[in-house]
Amino acid sequence: MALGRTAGATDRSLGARRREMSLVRGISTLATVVTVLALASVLVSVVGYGLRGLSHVVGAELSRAVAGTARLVVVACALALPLGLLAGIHLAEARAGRLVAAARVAADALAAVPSVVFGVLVYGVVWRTRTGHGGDPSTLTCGAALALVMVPTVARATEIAIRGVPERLREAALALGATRFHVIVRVVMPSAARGIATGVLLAIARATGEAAPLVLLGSDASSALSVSVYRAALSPLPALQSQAWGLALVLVALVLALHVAAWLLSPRREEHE
Amino acid sequence: MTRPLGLERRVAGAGVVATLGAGLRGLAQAACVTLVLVVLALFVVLAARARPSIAAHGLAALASTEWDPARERFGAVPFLVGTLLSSLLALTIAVPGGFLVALYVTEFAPRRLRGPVASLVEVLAAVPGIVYGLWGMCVLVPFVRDVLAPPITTRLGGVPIFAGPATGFGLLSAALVLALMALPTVAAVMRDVISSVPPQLREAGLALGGTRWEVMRHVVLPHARAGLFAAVMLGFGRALGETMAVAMVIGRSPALTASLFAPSHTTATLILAELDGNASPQHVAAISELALVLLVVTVAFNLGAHGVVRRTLRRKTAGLSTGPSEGELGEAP
Repeated sequence: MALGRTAGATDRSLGARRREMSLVRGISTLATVVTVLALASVLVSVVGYGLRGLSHVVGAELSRAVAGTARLVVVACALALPLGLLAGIHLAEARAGRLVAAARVAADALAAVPSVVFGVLVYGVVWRTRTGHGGDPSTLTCGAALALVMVPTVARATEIAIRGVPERLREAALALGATRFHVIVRVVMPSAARGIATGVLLAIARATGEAAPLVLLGSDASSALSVSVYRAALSPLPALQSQAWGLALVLVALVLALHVAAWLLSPRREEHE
Repeated sequence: MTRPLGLERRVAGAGVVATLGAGLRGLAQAACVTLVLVVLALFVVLAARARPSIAAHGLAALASTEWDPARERFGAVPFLVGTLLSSLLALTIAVPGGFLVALYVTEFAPRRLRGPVASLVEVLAAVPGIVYGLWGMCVLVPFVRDVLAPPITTRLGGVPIFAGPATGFGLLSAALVLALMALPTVAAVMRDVISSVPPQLREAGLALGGTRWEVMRHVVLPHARAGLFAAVMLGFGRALGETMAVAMVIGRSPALTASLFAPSHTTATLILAELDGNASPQHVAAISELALVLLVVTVAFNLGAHGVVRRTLRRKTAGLSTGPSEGELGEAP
């Protein structure tokens, strides 16, 4: 089918066909240059304004915000990791069935849900009367919203990493008399560990940058770094806006450090080299 | 004597291990059940919170354009329109842009540029939405207000979609920020899709005398169609629900307007702006109803895209099984 169409194209002179390719090459190069410039503008602003803004950032406030993010991530991990890891193990190891199919759809659906909707869910669960609500939301409620953001990433990374373990390793272990439990715990999990760790770090990076559910639940600037960027940015005072850039620089540095760590751990990296 | 002893110990341990194995399987099953329950809880809790609104107005609220919480008017049209317009506009920029970047990186880039361009794009896919919002507010909004909008509003101000005055905060700025956020993701997914097309197909096309663009157009792209479609859907789903970046540049006005430069609102930004302790029960219900709509749309979209991709892949595999598979062709001496 494709051959017929290509054969039609050869009716034209080689020069015309070459010119067409040069045109496409030119357009795609131009588009890439524009994209790279626009994206570079974001990075340059973050670094440039960020370094200037850092002087406006009060050390105590910054460390409170970072500690807040760390606290939320720990709570989110405590909720999301057991759930995501175990679900991932089941998705990879169990034979196809209704539960596996439903859980896979659920993981896909969860990955598609906008994070602000998780905020509405948590709000809906803890919502009492109009007067009963208010005050600072607890670390647990905010952490739960972030956990929902993390779970699908962790589950999927676990499933993919486990499926990537060569069948011969399993068979060798079974042939040596290992039980299924031993195969999973002693053979499969250790060889899938790097892939799983990569997924977990990426999930943590997403949770670290997430602000929508936290702002929705009424967190103040000291509860998380991402929220402190938002609160400072919305202030009409130029000094606070400058501070927002400083905080954003710290946030981007944290998130990128997590991505670099994930990349260093990634099992795919060695295949590429 | 040592042998039976060792065997005994193994057998004694086997019982414990079997129990552990059953325990692990039970826990893993429970985790899957929990996952399903969480998704169900999302729908149930939002529907329960939205019930007063659905009971009072039915689904008519979704078709009304007036949003005035103080007077208990909860028309959702401005937000649905804002969400749809900003996402579609963003995609009309991000999809061709992402495709061209993917094309450049896989086909035309000099080898030593491929790595850096790909890494830059990946780094920017990792930057949080809130940072894009800050950039939009401090860099893009002044640019739209002072550079982009004035020549358009003065010359074409009579046309409703270009009507001024432009404060910089509005639909266009939101769409541009969304486009920039979606672009790295779309480009990265499309690059993966294009480079996963079997090299034999590409080589066969080149061997027949096709130029690299002809091979791309007639061989690689048709093969990669499902994956490219998935990349577009992924970008659209993300754009529909993006909250922070949009909230910081869209101007947050519930008035329905046709102008690209006028302040607007999306479903997600409305939820962020108005769901708080001060909202009345009716107000909370109306917002929950909008959140439910957003949930249903994004989930349906994503699952639909997954379904299309899976079906296409199956058809493709079925088509190949009638002839020799690609692998067999490749391994033939």
